[in-house]
Amino acid sequence: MNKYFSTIKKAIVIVFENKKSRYLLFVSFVLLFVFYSFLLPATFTGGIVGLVSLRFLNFELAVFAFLFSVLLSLIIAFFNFSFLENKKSSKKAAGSFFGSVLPPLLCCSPLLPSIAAFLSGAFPYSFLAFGFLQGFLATYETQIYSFLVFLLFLFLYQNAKQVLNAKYKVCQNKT
Amino acid sequence: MKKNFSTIFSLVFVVFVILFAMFFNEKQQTSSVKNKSSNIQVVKIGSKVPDAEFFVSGKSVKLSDFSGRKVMFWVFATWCPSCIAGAQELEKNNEKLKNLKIIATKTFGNAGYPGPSVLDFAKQYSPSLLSEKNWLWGDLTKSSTAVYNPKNYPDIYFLIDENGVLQDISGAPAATINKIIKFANE
Repeated sequence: MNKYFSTIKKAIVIVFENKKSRYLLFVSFVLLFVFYSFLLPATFTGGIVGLVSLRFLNFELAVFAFLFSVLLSLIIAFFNFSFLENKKSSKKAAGSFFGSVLPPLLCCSPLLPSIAAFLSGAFPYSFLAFGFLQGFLATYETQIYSFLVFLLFLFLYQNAKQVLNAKYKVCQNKT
Repeated sequence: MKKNFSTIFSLVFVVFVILFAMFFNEKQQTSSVKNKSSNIQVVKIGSKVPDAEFFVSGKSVKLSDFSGRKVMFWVFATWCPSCIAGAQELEKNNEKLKNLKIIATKTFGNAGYPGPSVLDFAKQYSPSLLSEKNWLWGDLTKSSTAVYNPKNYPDIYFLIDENGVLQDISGAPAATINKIIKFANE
């Protein structure tokens, strides 16, 4: 576990040295935190997202909104940093879209909490009735969100390794 | 290797969630179409509401038993978070809702997912409402669910005036409490 934290810590230090990355991290955190603070409580409002849903933001949902936004904004900043570093150093990164952009996006890390939140209640009931799925997600909401935090942490670790690889031009995959 | 595994795992997870959602959505739509074609009774704003039957402590009760009174006919699932928030919000505002007969019924099949009984739901989330005279908790029959909630929404309510005419259909009482209070007191 220490290995994960130390890798992420090193990547944070590297990314924080870059002014643009710091700015990106801050902006994406603020936007995501606002987004999740409105979205997650929509489960109590039958899908109405807005000031009404914000009224139902409880401590648990606020913690999840915070964790999702911290992890996601770090993932975005890490991804942006490693992508730009790779682009600078090699033509391969710029040319190979599938090799560089797609895998991190396909990890769907930014999408997972949103998908879960939408399915569990933020989809207006009048437009979509998932029945069993909505019931399952609503009943196990805390466990599902916790699992998503765990997944995001793993994605963050992956992206942290990419940052270190990009910074020190090491390709761990070749070993 | 680890990276590939995580990528594949997350892809499979997302695809699974999407397929699952599509499958159940399709199932729900099919059943609602069947219900529509077999039911002649229609619940329509501005028209007289069809009668509904529900069970309160094992005893059959009809919606028409309350004609002459303003009624909020709430059909919900006991697992749904907006219903929990709704029950709590209605409990908080019940003093302003005394003019309204509120009939809270668990939709037949509980909208596709198991949950507590309607009385356990009330005991857990809005216990004071169990003894309030303007409240009634029950279980909606299958045939009345087919009329009032053919799409199996987990949270839907109907505001019916003294003449039995439907004035509004909405959901999530916690988010729409002002509308309910206004209807009760206008």
